[in-house]
Amino acid sequence: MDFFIPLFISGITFGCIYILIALAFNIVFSSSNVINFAMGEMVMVGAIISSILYAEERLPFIFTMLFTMIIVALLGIIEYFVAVRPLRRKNATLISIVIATLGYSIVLKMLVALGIGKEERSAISPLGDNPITIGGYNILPQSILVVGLTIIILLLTWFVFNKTMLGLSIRATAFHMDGAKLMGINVEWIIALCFGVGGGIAALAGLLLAPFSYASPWIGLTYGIFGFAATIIGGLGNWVGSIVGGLALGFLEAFATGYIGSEWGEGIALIVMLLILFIRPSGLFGSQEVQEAGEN
Amino acid sequence: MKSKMNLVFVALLVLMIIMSGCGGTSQESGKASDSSSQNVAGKETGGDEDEFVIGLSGALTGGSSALGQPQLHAVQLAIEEINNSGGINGAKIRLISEDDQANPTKGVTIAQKFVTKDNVDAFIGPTNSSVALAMAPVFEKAQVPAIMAIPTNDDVTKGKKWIFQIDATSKTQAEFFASYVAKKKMKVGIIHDTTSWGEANKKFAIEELKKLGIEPVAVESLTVGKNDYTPQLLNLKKAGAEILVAGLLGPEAAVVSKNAKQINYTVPIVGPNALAQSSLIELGKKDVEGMVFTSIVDPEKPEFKKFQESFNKKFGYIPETDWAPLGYDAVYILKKAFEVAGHDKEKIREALENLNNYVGVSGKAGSTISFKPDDHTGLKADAVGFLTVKNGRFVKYSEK
Repeated sequence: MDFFIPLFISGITFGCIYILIALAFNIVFSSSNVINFAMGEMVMVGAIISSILYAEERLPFIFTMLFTMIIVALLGIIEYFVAVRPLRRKNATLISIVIATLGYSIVLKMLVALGIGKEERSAISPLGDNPITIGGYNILPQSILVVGLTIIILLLTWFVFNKTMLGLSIRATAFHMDGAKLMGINVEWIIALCFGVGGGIAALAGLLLAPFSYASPWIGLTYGIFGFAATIIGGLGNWVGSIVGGLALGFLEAFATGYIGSEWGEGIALIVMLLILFIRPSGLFGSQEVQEAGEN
Repeated sequence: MKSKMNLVFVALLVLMIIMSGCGGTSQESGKASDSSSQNVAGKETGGDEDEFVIGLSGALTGGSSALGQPQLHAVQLAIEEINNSGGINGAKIRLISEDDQANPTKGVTIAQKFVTKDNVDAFIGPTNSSVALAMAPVFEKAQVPAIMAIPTNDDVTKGKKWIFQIDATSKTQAEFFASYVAKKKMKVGIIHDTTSWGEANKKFAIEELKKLGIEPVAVESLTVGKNDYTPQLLNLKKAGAEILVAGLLGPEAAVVSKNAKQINYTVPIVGPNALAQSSLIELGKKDVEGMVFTSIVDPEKPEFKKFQESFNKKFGYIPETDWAPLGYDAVYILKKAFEVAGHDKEKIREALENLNNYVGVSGKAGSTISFKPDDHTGLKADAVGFLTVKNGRFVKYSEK
């Protein structure tokens, strides 16, 4: 157990981070069918802005969190209008649009590196660095914060998407764009909003993971890839899938590193992703429609 | 339709280029990206005036920029000093710097540009061994002398006529900390990153420990840039490692120390000079106090102290670790060669090969840099010492 519990804590903490990133991927995908490859860089921007505001400027945590999420949400909305919408209007293929999001991610990365700085910044946890001891095991307060905020975000998005008019509009847009337009829904803004919400949630993931190590302009790619892998494992466009995919990836990584060997950790996590894709191309919870929509 | 789409892509690309250009000049490190424009201006007016051109490449952005930036600054400082004191027999040195982002492919492109378009007299850089290994054949083929000051991989100069190294190689460093570990009589664990540099460190650490009759109880690897290395540390703890040899760069070593503390695993950590980056202290804070690493700077050496002073005056920060002094020495070693050989590259190479007992700012007090026709590595075991972290600063390590 001395071995199992710490691995479990590591797995669930980073599983939650992957859940948030997968959720961000899914929110954007479900409204627009676009896989937003700038997501990893949004995580990075979130980590950097929050460490500047909270660790360096000592602003209140709640303010830091909201401000960071809003700024990155705006970056997401800008992404839609700069990189995605112009291509959609030209009836560009989905592949071109996805490549454009990749371009936007490089712009983000270089802007941060050159404008804000290339060095690694330390981030601090609002709950402090001293581990809490529960039953003889050390748990970082930040891990608890990660799990707590992930649950809150999941509940919040579930509520908005299933119980509000806005959520209904988003789902209508995802279901049938032209139909939604005819119903008087401003489809453009709904999609832009989803890019924003995706950015905001990705920023939260960045804010939460930075205190475990550091924030630098180069951390985005890894989290983009792992967040995307979690999305794929769970199934594109499926929210339950985000949860299962994120946790599966977090645990796989931690346990494979611990029990099989460190050189296998990431490899095994990604091999499992491939296996799932071979057996169920639409992911564990993905529906066939999503797959077809993706092919259009 | 399609052509319009292409237009958007081109526009996007142009935008990216402009943005990266603008960002560079507004920054304190802007000189790096400026140099290319200076270069163009220099080309137009040059020609009638004799000048020596040095090409420099290094990781000026990216994770290894903590090595590349100080080296660039030190090279700029040395060139300024030389030019202000009469240059090389009256001729000035001009620097062209490029950012290889620690990317071997970019490195090769830059090397080719230096030897064909810029026609440099000599080359300094890069910062990373993987890039050095990729660039070396270009300079060999073009017959341009290259001083690869920072890379430590032992293969960089092996069998090469035109390539020179200054930093103590990975093997030399491993020898040094292996003997330190052996004296401790503790069970040894190894943790390293999966870059080619990290793998080489692991290999040499295992080899050198073996020579001293020590078998590591566990060897763990990690991917650069992840936020949690608890699983690896749990394995090392389970295997009973009492001291860790770390083939890591600064930021990862900081995270490892932090994670170790979280699982109540407090063991000494030793490793090569690449651990000694300012980021180690900034990120690791209290957790990295007492970490020990090899280093080719000697905080008490007068030449090094003087260098730190003039560096601080120009750039506003004090270089405490190995990277800046290595770049600085590379320029002065080239100066010596230029003075006797002029622009004749073969003669520059010969002059470098005959460099004997050069006292640089790098290296432990009393050590010197020499090259021989069959040995192009500069600093040897006698130049290596230990640094440690004390009260948030890099200081000389002394055994209590």
